[in-house]
Amino acid sequence: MDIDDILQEFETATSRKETKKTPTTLYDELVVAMVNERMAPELLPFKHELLQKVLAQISNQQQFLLDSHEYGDVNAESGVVTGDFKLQLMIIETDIERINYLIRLYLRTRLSKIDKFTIFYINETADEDPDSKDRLLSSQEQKYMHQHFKILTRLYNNCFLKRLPHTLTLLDDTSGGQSMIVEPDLNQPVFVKSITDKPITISLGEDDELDLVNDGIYVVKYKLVRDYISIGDVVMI
Amino acid sequence: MYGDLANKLILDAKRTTNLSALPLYQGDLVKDIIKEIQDLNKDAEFLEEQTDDGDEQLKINQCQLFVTHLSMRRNKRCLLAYERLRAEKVAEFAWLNIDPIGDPNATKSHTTIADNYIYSNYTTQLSLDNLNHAEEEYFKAYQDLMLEYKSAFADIDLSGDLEPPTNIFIDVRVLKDGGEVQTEYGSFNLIKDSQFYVRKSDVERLIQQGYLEEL
Repeated sequence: MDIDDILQEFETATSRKETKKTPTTLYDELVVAMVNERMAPELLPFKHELLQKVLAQISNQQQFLLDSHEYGDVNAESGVVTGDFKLQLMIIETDIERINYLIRLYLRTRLSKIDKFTIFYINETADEDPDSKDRLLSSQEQKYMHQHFKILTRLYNNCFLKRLPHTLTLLDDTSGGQSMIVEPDLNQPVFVKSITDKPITISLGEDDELDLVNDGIYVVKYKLVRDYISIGDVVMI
Repeated sequence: MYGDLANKLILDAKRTTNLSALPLYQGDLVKDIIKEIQDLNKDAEFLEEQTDDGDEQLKINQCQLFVTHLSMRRNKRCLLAYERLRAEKVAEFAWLNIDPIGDPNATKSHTTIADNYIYSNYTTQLSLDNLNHAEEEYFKAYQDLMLEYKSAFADIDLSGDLEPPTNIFIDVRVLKDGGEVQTEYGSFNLIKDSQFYVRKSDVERLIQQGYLEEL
């Protein structure tokens, strides 16, 4: 049984008035978002809508599971409940577990990137509009980042920074020819796959060009395909 | 030589990266390095005041000043790198959600978790004795921070296993005695060497804490 069937079953089982297109695409979207996030050297914009939808569906499913278990327990003796019923519940449970895992990986990957490039992203998001839809970080992540930076700074200060000469106490020092702010390396090579029918031509500099054809797999510098990834014509693998 | 002490610190940090437990905080070494930086700073201040010598002397002074500044900066970076690594390890441990070890004698029973291949690169042990005061504070603050972040995602176990799940039910063997465990599918008793077939998400915490072993 593949994922589509299971998701189909989800829909009928819960009899929610979801439009037909969402269940499969939602799962696929999540996988793409997760893989992209894992492979990209920089933080990608947070998928606000996607996450909201998935989280809502998961809690629906969990509620449904609870109800069904109750229903199963109550009717266990009367013979209304067949073995298939338990199996169905288990399939749903397995699937929740899987989606759970995807989200877990997605969020944790983002957190690890935020931890790595903290100062860079604090500067980057400083003048973002907090109400706009396409913010780089979710509000929780924003909070996490600032809070984590605060406790880290406190740790450094308590350990040694407060005892150093005043000129050396900066954490985002860029003098002396070396920047202390860790930035994502956009030149890192990544594996990508083109998923659009339109041919994409990227310039490699020095009059060199590379055509990405549909379904082709390439290794390119991240910054060259960055824009195509954000519009979804190219996915990372 | 200036920088030797910092070098030692970095070597210690490098060793730490592959350990599953956080070693003792190198308080003395850190103190010595801070002292070195303070000395260097005094040197630098002194050198900056020396301006009335000849041209030749001025050049020498400037060169010395430059090297002094470089050494100070390098020391600072080493200190930061060392502390950062420790902070990361502490945070990594916080995600695993295991109780830290307060009593140094209790460490032995915890070695089994480290043998598990999944966790081989993780910080699976943390002895509070090895942390300095500021680090302990950081650990607590980070735990709070993590809880706050996780509370936004009530249905998702964010600190769970990062390996893809295969079965929802797994076979486990009990490694040490514990009390009764309640799950949705009934309860079982933790008796050493007994085996159970249980739902993975129910017992994940117990595996991380070293009560159970996945077969």
